[in-house]
Amino acid sequence: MHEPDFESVARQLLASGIAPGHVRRTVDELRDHFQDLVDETESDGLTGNEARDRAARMLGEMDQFVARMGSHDELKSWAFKHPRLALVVYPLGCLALLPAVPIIAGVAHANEIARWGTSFLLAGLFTAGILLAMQLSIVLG
Amino acid sequence: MAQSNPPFMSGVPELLLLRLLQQQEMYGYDLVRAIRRVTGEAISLGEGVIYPILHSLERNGSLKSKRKPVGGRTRVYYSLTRKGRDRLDQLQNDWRRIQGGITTALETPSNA
Repeated sequence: MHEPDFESVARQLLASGIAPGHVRRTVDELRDHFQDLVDETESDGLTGNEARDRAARMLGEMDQFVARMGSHDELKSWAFKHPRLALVVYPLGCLALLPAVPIIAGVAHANEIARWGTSFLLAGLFTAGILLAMQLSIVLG
Repeated sequence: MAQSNPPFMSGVPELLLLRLLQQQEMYGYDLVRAIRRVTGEAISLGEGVIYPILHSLERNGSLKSKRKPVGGRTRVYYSLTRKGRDRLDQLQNDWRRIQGGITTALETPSNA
């Protein structure tokens, strides 16, 4: 073991009901803490994988960490605490948000939409120009 | 009526964290080292033990956190809120009451 599997820790925390925001920050903090421990062990004279192994042992068993975190009910997500209510509220919320989705998508991808629209406008003008030139050549020719 | 004793041993990390964060904002690794230092190595928390406690204290409003870029990394610094200061006062009073009670018990002759 050179480094704890932090992605697995995140999955286990989510599975135990911890709110996603806490999970993301906890894993970031654990990664940062692990790097500090690696720096510490390297300053003690260890190098490479040896330092990382020692740091991982110092950080402790991740299964125990997940269990400890899971024992804090206040860190659990709302949906985990009230699954039946969530099954009603989430679909209703999604339905209510449905009309706003195109607007949100438009704002989120405004640059792409602007480029796409400009390309279509230019292509339309170019085609109209060709058609106009052909028409004029017929009328005047 | 006598006050019931809080689960004071399980509250020790919370008390120490609040006390340290009263003085300055700190991040996880820093806090674990500081606890060892200020207790003369008498109390040594596991490296990962403090994060559930920190998150829990933040959740109940005793702490607030902010991310700060330091040396190419982003650290999460914790600091005390007003509610945290009140909680610290309460825990300190509880601890002193219990410590006083135990000291009295230890100094009382066993056949008294």
